[in-house]
Amino acid sequence: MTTIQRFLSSVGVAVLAGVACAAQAATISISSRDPAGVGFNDPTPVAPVGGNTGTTLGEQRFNVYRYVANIWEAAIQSPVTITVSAGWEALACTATTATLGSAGAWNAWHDFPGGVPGTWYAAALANKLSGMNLTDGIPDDGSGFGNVDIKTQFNVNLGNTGCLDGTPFYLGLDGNAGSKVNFAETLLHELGHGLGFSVLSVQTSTGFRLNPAGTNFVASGGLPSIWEGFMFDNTAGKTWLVMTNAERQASAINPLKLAWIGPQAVAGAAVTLSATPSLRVETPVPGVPGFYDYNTASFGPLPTNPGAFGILAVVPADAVNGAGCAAFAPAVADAVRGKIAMIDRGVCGFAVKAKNAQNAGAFGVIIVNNVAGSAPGLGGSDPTIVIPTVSVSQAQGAILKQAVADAVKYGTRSRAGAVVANFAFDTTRKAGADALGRPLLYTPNPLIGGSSVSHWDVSAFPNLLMEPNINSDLTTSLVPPLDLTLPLLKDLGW
Amino acid sequence: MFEFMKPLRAGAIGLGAAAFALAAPIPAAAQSSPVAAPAADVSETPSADAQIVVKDGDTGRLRHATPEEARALHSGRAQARRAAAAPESRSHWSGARGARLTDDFMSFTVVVKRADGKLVELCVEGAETTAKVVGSAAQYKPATLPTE
Repeated sequence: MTTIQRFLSSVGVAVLAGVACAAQAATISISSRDPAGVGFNDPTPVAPVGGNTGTTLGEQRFNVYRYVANIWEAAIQSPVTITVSAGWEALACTATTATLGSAGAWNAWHDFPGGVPGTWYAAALANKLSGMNLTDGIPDDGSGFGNVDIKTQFNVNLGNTGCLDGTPFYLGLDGNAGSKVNFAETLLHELGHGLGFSVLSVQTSTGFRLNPAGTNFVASGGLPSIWEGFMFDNTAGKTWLVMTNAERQASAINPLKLAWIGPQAVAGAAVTLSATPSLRVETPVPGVPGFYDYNTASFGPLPTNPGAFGILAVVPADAVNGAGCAAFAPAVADAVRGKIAMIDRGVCGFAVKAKNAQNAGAFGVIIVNNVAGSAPGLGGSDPTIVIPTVSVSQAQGAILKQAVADAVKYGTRSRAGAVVANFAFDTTRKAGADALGRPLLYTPNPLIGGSSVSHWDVSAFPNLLMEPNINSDLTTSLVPPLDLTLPLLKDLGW
Repeated sequence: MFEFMKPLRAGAIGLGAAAFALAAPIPAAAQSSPVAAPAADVSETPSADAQIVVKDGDTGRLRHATPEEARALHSGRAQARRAAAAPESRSHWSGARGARLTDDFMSFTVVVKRADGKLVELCVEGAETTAKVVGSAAQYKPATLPTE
């Protein structure tokens, strides 16, 4: 039996031990920390919005909490009431940025009946598996909410002057947030973290684990998170459970290589994630045809997938101005006219290169990265650009540029051989999954504290609730074929 | 056919990279990382009937706080409580061991309004990282995506 099999077996035994007393729907209790006149108690009269019939601002805020809690109650089971502390406070913000809010497990437990021994769990899940409220009888820490399972807080000033000016929370329940911040979706995501969608007890910047007392991240003697047995690094070939601190630290910044191997989420990914949108390259040059990853630009039209792109042409290096940074010489313009101009990144802006290619008659642009790593997103703006621009990685760009040169000899006397790229879906790869179809966790390099690891990767398509970005096209579904939140939680024991 | 908008989600990557750049590095030699400072006063909880007085900046006299001032004070207390709280170990008769955690374990959602008016929400961890992201909007916003 492999280490992974032993771990999955131990989780399965733990879950089965708790099944007999855990088959009832969950109850979520919300308690307020707000003083009079604030937050849930704000008496400001408001009009009903998007199915929220509250008549005061405070009432509408509470209604959203209750609405989201109801969604979670319908999705999970527990014999122990899940307690959530809610507060509306003045969180950090400026006119254009703001802390919307926060949430997380406020208590964590290990070595409780029904759990995997020596393993940290979020409190709500520990209570469910043990069949009892583990904080019962423990004196409060003086805060009034020290024993709750989940703590939440949201920005009471959002939308006011100096705090994301003019953009408040949308308190409707219908998802039609428009230009406002969809509070229901944000809270749905944050409560997911509070219920256990987080590696929680591992410091991803060091790989250290939380000590048994829960007071320090330590180099040795820390206990693993229940997450770790499900986190498989395809480069290291092992799970976080059996890694050293240094290996966990490296795995946290190993893009597109850290997969979740829990059976529920893997099965869910098969029916949720779509094929990977790619550039499909066709050419007579051996070894080159196939699918290539690309990224998009913030200027010009987005590519249509599936859809035609065109024949590739290479814009030569320019030691003086930078490739594509000046108006194209006549010979270069002749080469790219009616084709897709491949231009190396560097020296000038992406939009400048795209505009010069457009002026030369190109139908599209591929920016080739000039550093290692994945295809970069292309920022910049120029409303006069009307051709699509995408990027490819440095390594894949080098293959394509060489292929453009090599392809010539495969043509006929009247027509040179070519490399053609079109937008298509690579049906052999799921968007946001590894080669075995296992959903990927978010592991950008460099690390993004808190975002890294404890979310699905941003390459997932369609968008998932528990990606680090809360996207505007999300629904409130937690299950396949729309989402993978609940399958991951079920892998943990929910 | 549909318009595809998310091959690799570049904006998210750029945004995250900016957030990381603002985060304090952790010494590699550290063998143990306290998750927060030792607990200070955690007993001060805003109460609905508290009488709050402030010293008026113009007259120098004490007066009742305006609702805005009261909210700010409550918020300040709450923030101080959050910043000061350290994990508190727990034990249960069943043999279970645990801890009451701190805001350093929380997931924060921050939002940035881009120049084109589009909102970008990002989930990060820890009050300190979040405050740096939000407090550095001027540096942060242009780095949402590389432009060259």
